Amino acid sequence: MKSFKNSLKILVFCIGLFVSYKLVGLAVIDTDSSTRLKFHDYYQQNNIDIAVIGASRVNRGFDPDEVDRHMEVNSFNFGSSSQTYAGSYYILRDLLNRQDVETVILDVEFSGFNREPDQQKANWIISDYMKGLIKYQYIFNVFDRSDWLIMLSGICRYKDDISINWCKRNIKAKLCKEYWDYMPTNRVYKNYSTYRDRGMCEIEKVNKGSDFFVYKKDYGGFDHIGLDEENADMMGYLYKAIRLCKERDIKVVLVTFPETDFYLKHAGDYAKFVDRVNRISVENEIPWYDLNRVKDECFSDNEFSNLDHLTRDGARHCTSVICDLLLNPHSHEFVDEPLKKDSGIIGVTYETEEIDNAVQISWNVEAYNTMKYRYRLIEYDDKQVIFDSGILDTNSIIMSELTNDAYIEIFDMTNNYLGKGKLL
Amino acid sequence: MDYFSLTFLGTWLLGLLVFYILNARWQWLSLLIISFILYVVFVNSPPIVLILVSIMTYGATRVIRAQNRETLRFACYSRVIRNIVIIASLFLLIVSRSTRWISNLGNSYFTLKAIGYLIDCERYDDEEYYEKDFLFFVFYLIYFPTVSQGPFNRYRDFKRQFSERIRFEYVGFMHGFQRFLWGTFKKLVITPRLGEMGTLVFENISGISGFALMMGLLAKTIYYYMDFSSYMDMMIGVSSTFGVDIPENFRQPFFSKSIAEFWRRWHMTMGEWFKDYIMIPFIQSKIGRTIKRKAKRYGKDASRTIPLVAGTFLVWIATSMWHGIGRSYFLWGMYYCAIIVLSLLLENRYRRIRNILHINEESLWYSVFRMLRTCILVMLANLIQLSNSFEDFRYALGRIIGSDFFIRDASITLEKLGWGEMKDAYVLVLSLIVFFIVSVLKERGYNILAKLDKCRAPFRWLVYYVIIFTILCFGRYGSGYDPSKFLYTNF
Repeated sequence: MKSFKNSLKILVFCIGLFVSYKLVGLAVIDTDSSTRLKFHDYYQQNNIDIAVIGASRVNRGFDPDEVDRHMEVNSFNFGSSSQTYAGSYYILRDLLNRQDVETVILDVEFSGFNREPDQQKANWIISDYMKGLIKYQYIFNVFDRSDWLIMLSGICRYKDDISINWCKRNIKAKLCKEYWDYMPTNRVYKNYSTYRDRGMCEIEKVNKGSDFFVYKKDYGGFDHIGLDEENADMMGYLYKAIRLCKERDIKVVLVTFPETDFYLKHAGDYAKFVDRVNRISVENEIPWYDLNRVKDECFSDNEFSNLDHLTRDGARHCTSVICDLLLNPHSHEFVDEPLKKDSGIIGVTYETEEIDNAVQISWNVEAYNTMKYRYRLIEYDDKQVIFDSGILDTNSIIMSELTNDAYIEIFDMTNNYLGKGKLL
Repeated sequence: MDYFSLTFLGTWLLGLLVFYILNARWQWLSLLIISFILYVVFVNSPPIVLILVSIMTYGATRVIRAQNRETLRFACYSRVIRNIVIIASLFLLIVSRSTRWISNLGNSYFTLKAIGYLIDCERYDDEEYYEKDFLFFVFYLIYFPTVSQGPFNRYRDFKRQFSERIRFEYVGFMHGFQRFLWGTFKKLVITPRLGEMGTLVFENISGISGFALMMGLLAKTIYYYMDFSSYMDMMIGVSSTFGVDIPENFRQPFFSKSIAEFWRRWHMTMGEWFKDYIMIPFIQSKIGRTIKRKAKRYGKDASRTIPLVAGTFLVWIATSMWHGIGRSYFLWGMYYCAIIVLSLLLENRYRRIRNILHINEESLWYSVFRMLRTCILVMLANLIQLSNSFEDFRYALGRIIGSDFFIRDASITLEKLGWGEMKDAYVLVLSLIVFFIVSVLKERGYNILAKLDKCRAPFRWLVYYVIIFTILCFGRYGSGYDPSKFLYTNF
């Protein structure tokens, strides 16, 4: 009797612990709309013909509606922010266990080869929302033992984000009916990324009011780029994903999603990247479509919401090119050089530095060629010219002199206005 | 040893499942196997010191015990053998500290335990102090909750607990888990944040304000305590789940009213070891007796105090050497030695002054004053240890007591601490408040675990849940953190 009582006590304690875990989880575990909705949407699908898997460029750059229009097949976008090939491989395994897929499009991106496969936040799409045993295989195979708890427990995963506002927001979001109904728009959780349909997400244009890209140098968008330190484990997962598809007679296509010229100029040695992916393509006898080098299909800066992600219009354009290539691999020609234009402004980079309680801002205007341009720094409201220069070079100014938004206006040497970029 | 690894936690839980169904002999054998597995798993170089020290000590005690204690030959042989083994063990200990290819895990702990055992074996003609079974002797040395950072448990107390089969006791078992949870809370929630604060301050010592320096020093001081005592809480807890008691090593040291008392409450088993095996033997030795005799000519008090002073000096030489070889460790040891010796020598004068000023020694304000004074002296000792040079020490001290105490500086910011928001500061302050309340209650003799046992289950469980979720939500673990690191691991 006593041992029965003790067993019952232990059981009640464990149930209490579980309930407490769920209650704390309500406040602590993120309500990220897009990845949650994506996986919910995925598990509702039963006839995915084309799956596209990769990082955020896929997430924002592939529109399943456009595929329907062109090819009359059902497609699904599995893209997620900073997704590693390890993540892609396990998503693919889950997908192939559930669906008869005809074509798998794997994203190969300039910045993907030297990442660590066990980047935690990049792969929370799986640990948070994937169902079934593959999730656990993924956690135990890819991650170090010391990270298992973090990957297995939502509370541990989000512990560094905990703050009063964070908890308030999560509780509020989870109290909305839309959350439990998996509605794309939750009244509380307003992300800059909006879930559309079948995995596709759309983001707003970042540089609103600018005619070219303006980026702060410590933005970090270029930090991880470089093929010199290719991660063998990471590449191993890419090869495994290709092999898995081939074993099941599934068509595999490698696609590089388009990036802005500004990004390509800063990203590094593109020829090296082309050479590397060509080798993968030849070794595995699979096609590679590099959308940065498609002849006559330039993606204008207006089709990008930021440095390396497309807008919805850009995504439609990009998807239609992919559909063309899937239907007819010779429908587009590819050029050697990724840069699209040969004249005009590429963009402006700037950085800020604290000097004696003031902030100094330095900027650099970049152009395609060495032609001379005139540009000036103005304060927006009264159009007061603060800086006027006849050459494109790095310049700086003490910020405390600025009171309003600052723009850079660019003119050619005959004083024709070329455009403006919002600096701050 | 990584006490948060699956290897450790898995072995512990698996060990528990097996332990309580075995008979007395197999119970300790199962713990020996667990201890051995964990030791082998967690050392990354050959445990040469452990092997040699255990063989030498065991062999020596067998030889000593084989002699007839009444003969002169015994006295001669046994002391020679004892001293050779002690010197050889200490030599191995020193060598292991300066080479990488010999495992350092717990060397000084089991070596000193073995030396203590050997001395007791030779000193007392009692079977309670002597182990015939080599495996049990090895088990005593490497019992896993004590092997890497102590405490220096004594053989006799340890052996007594295995004289008969240990039966499962729910209360003791639960207290073990509670203690482990409390230690984990201290180790994962409080210790890393204090460490981050202290490290940042001492890495940016130049140009920093005196206030920031003092906060850093305070953080480091509490950090040392938290790190070490959290380990002790965890290991006492683990051992309790097996029904094996190991001695406490800390008793609220920051409530001490003097430095001597501080060291009776801090790393208690080490202090007792030094007292029993250095101080007392020295005072009772020929040299000690000669000092006492010669000191008699300066009065009765001197004959009592001077041998004590000499013994204290020896103990502090040993303590500083145990903590590390180097100038800062030596100065640190001599600093404590000087304070303890001075308070010994000036004890009578202090009493007279207190009488003249009509200070009630038991009054609250005087007690608080003495506690604060002790804390300041301990912080000063840590400053000696943390300073790379005398100039650094002078500079830091000058900042703390000089006009630079409140200067504006941007060297210590939440951002530089890696504490994105105030969250970490709040967590630290709240945790320290909880810790302080628990310490005050313990100091007043309030048995928190016993009181908790008497509470109704829902309340008791609520306390567990709060601690568990505080650890999960605010603990420092996962990538970028190494909770397996304890300050005293490789001593």
